[in-house]
Amino acid sequence: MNMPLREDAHPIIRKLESIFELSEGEKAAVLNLPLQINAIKADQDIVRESDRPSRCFAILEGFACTFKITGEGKRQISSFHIPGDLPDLQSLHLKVLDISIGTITPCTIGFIPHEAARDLCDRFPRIGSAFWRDTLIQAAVFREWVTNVGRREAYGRVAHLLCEMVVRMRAVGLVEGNTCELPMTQNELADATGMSTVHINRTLQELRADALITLKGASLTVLDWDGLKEAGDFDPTYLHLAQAPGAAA
Amino acid sequence: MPRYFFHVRDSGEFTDDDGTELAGLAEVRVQAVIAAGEAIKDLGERFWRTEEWHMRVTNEAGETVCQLSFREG
Repeated sequence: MNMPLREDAHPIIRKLESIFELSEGEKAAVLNLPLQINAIKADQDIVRESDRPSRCFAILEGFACTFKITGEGKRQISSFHIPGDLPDLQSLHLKVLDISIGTITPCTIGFIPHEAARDLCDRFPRIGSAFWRDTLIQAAVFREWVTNVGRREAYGRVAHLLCEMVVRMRAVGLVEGNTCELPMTQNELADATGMSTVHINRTLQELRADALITLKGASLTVLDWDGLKEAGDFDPTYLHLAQAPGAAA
Repeated sequence: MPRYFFHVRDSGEFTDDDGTELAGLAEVRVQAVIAAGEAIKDLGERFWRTEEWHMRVTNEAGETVCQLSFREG
């Protein structure tokens, strides 16, 4: 099944344009990728650790996360993924997956055969560079998360995570005003921050009480961007976005 | 799953309005210890601003089901 997508709304185009400006030819080549579109329900694995994939994927709709599970069954989420992300691009060069990636919400996934991705990179070297750059940025995000989970206090840790989500979502046009979707459950936020659900819950209530954010269902509104940034000790340099980001438009 | 509320009193007062869904009392006791550990770890020097750090867990009826306190011995 092929999903017709308007060029300006195509999540992969939006994602790549958050990294560099695409030429018309490059846009056309991305839009002509032979995507295999799959709808996947919430809380399902998309790929699993030790898989040997012959394709990578883009998230066209929905939210997902990269995670690992310890021998005693505890999950650590090491990244959240939003529409446009290509979370397992490393599988182009590393044969065996060392992480699992699962959906958080129902997702529309576009699978790209490795062969087609390699061909795209060969014909359009700037796209190859952008893919390389994107995997480097993913590594930068992982480094930031290690620092965040290992060394920041709970309050700052959660604030930092929220800042990152807002900046990344804004870069691909998914923030309206100061509000964006934040569909992660408290369990998922706990597994991403290395905290208990009880402490995540308390910390979110404190961020709300301090009038930095409101959280209604799956919707996050930043009330005080400077305050949230300061609380989270947040500097968006590690996201290496094309345009200087911020929560305020 | 029933919802439990983890209130903390130290140099400030935190009233848990949202609560957390947990399977039962055994799980409450495990989560209380973990959450207390996380909170105290972050306090550091601020811990000494009060005589006692105290957590009280209540059920949906408002009854106390578990209490923990941590103080200088």
